[in-house]
Amino acid sequence: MKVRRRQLPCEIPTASMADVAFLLIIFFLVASFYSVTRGIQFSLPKRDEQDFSAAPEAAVLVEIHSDSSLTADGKPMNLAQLRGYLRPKLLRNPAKSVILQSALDAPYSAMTDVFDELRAVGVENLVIPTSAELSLYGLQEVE
Amino acid sequence: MHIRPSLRKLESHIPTATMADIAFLLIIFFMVTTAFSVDRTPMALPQTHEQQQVAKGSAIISIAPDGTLRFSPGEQDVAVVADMQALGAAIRQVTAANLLHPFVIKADRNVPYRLIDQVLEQLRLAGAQDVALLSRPEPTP
Repeated sequence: MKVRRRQLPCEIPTASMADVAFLLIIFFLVASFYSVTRGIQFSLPKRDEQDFSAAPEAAVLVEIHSDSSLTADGKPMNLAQLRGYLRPKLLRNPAKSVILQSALDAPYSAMTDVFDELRAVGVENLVIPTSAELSLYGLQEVE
Repeated sequence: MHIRPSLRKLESHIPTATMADIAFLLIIFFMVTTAFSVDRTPMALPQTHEQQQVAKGSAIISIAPDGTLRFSPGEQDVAVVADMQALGAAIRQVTAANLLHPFVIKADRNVPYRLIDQVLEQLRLAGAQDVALLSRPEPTP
């Protein structure tokens, strides 16, 4: 007797693979927005750089006080005025040094606001001495 | 003329094999570009106009509004650091291996500058050369 074999269809089911894959896509899409990874580049003075007190007359001293008020070379001003004060100096000398000193009781945002402003004006030579450095050179902290 | 309908049966079939290929390609893209945050401490970051991409795998120094210090050398999750001296030791461990290792300071905007000053001092003593301050973009008017 001749036995007729039924032919079985051979097929790999791939339909569900795409479902799994899209599920993973959505996960990574969502996960890629988790973290904040942008900020402002902060260049610390190198240890072997020349003393920052070498030419204090040539540098602009920007001070942030405990109440977040600003003074530049002793003159009180706001952020917009600071920009106007620095721009002509930077036009004359693009490598003009700016020393940013912040009172220890001032909020961190006061320092970042000024820092951001200085970067926006185009200050390249920015020095932010720490209080330990100031005492090393016998200088006073901002009140 | 009489037209006989074809006896051959037409099969209806949607080709789905390539869809998975495309999907896996997209998965790999998102896997590579996803940067998992190692520090999930909620805080209000300061806002700045200037924004630069922070290097992937940077060591994170996190300063919470209550002054709690947390540190991660880059890959691991952040761990609470007892005080400034312990933070300095952790920073020196990283800089001893690689002086150019990037550091990110993630601090709340209302933290007193005193803490930032102390952290910067530790970074300076350790000889760190690549430091960034984490910030949010300023809202456009």
